[in-house]
Amino acid sequence: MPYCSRCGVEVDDGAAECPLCEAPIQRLDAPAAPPGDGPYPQHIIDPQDTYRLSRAERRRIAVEILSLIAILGSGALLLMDLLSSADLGWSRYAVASIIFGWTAACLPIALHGRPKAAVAAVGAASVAFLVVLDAMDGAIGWSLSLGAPIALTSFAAVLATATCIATRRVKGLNLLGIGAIGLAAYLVALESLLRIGILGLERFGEARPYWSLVAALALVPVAVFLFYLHGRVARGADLRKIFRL
Amino acid sequence: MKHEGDAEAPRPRQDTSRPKVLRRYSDDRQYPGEHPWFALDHAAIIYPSILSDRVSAYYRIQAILDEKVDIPLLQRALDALRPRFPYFQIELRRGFFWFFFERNDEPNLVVEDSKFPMQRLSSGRKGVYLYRVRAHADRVSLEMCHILTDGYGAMIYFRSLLAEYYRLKGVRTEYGPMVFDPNDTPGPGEWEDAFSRYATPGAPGPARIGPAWHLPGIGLPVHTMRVVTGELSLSAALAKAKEHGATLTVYLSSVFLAALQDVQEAEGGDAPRSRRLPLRLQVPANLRNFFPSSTLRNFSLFALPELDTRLGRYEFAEIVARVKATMALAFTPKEIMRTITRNVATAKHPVVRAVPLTMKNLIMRGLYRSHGEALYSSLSTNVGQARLPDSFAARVRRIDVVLPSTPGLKTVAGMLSHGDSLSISFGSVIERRDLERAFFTRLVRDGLKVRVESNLGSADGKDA
Repeated sequence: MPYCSRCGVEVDDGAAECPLCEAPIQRLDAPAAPPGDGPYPQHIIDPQDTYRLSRAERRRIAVEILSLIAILGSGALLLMDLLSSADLGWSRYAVASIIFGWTAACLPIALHGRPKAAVAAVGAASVAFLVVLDAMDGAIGWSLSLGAPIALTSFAAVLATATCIATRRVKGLNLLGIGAIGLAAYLVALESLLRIGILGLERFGEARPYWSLVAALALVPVAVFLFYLHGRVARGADLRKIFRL
Repeated sequence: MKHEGDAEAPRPRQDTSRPKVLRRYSDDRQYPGEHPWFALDHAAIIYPSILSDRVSAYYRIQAILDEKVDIPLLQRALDALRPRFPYFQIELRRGFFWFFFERNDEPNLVVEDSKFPMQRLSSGRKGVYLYRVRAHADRVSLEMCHILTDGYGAMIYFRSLLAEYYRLKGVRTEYGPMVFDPNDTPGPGEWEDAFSRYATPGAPGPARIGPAWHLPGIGLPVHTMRVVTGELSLSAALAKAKEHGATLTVYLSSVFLAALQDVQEAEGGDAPRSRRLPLRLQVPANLRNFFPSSTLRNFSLFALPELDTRLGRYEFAEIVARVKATMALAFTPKEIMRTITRNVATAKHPVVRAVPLTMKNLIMRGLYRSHGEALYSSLSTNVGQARLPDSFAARVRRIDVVLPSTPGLKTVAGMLSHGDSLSISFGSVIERRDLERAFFTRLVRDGLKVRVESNLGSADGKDA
């Protein structure tokens, strides 16, 4: 059996180097066994994955395709506008929309595996898009008082609800309950924002939400009932195990 | 053509009318019904909090057979065996205050082995078991999470699995306390959290110790690890241990500490000796040898033999004497009771119990680093004899136990013997291999013949 002259240990017939000191194994008698005959398999996870595109490669290709479509589309629209009126008019709105669409599609791909970062980035891009659209008219107005707050609240509500849903290990009727709670909170926030945006902050006292509270009061009992159904009936939950001290 | 099932050996004891028993859970709770659950034992409660991509808490027992593994037959053996060990057929769930186990009815499939063993399974997903059986060529492996059981429980499961596999191949095995009959009913004592039983309120805790020296080294990529296994003659190693006036565990632990001392000296360079941290080795022991229990869940604790290298270099005879004395003092029922009581009393403290699990996780992660891994340089466990039944012992060429390392300990060792083969496996998550080299070359210099193999070459470790 071959051995390492530095460490003095014997090694496998197929070993090209010592597992301890990495020195090459001298062979005077028999040729080395073919590689792959070692004690462990050579594949890391699944041999079938070896010749497939990796997920990272697929993501990179998707971003390339989306970028090419956005560049070609934007270029074509700008050229058409320039050729027809010798000025950039309507095409600015179209190109801004294409850029926003490209951002909203590419960010989740680029931030794969970080859903919170992706939602936050798309939220920021949406606000920026609204402000740019508003600014194209010559002055910034509705985008700051209504557009940005509503967009940010919508993304925050989606993010919070999705996080809550994702952390549930057992998924069933409880997801509907979480969705109902999220919707109730969102509606209250939305009505508050609308009233503040329309009436202004100085009349905030008059801006108490009304219809959204009615909707929330209907949604919350529904959610509680769904949680109860999910936990007690469908899962046979035992409160003693959840709250065991 | 002879059907595979025709070769099956008759069962020594058939129990066709399995009585429906009330399952007994830890903490004296009995909750029969559709969704049985039970609490983690007191050694296991730390593990779910520290699991990560780099800390898997899985260890592995693997047997190299004399022929290629028949995977469909192994699957049948696993399926037949599972009902006998209901406390392993569970998934990990989160409560508000503690993690708990809940019955898992999903199929548990034998999976193909891979180059890097013992990677963490997604215990957060529903239906994921905390152990798995793997196969590759002539090797069967059981990867068991420490949340479930210790080496003793895993060995019984592994022996029983092999016995059932060979029974399906036509080899009859006598069942007993070391090999369970798949048709038997689990005894209530097998579910027990034995730590709770032997905690003695009022017993003082163990003495506090400071941090120990740790191996330096650049980590291997995440989800990879190096396994270096050395095989030597058990009779030769026993004779050598006897020469040094020690048991095999004491001898191998002493060699490990001596190797750590070699690495520390080589690493220390010209730094003043007075600034060195002590070398401390965790050597676990099966507590069933000290406290009667038939539990198949965790029931082990450890001794911490130590070298204070600020005092100078230790000769091997001095190391053996220190290890022997430390283990003799640590492994007595009274001393063990200190640690058992401290662990159980902490977990049962009303304030600790009332802390929500999310906060407990943060605290336990910090405690594990500061009061766990920081206190010892490495870990070396000797599981002892595999004690395979005679009916198929000759068909198993070697058995290894491989421990998972962590970014804190970096390199750890597990030892197991079968027949005249003593297997010593190092699990490591760093590129450098000087501890393994120092250990095995010491054995070679002591006159023992060692054959070494690894799951990766030097290039793999750097590029993988």
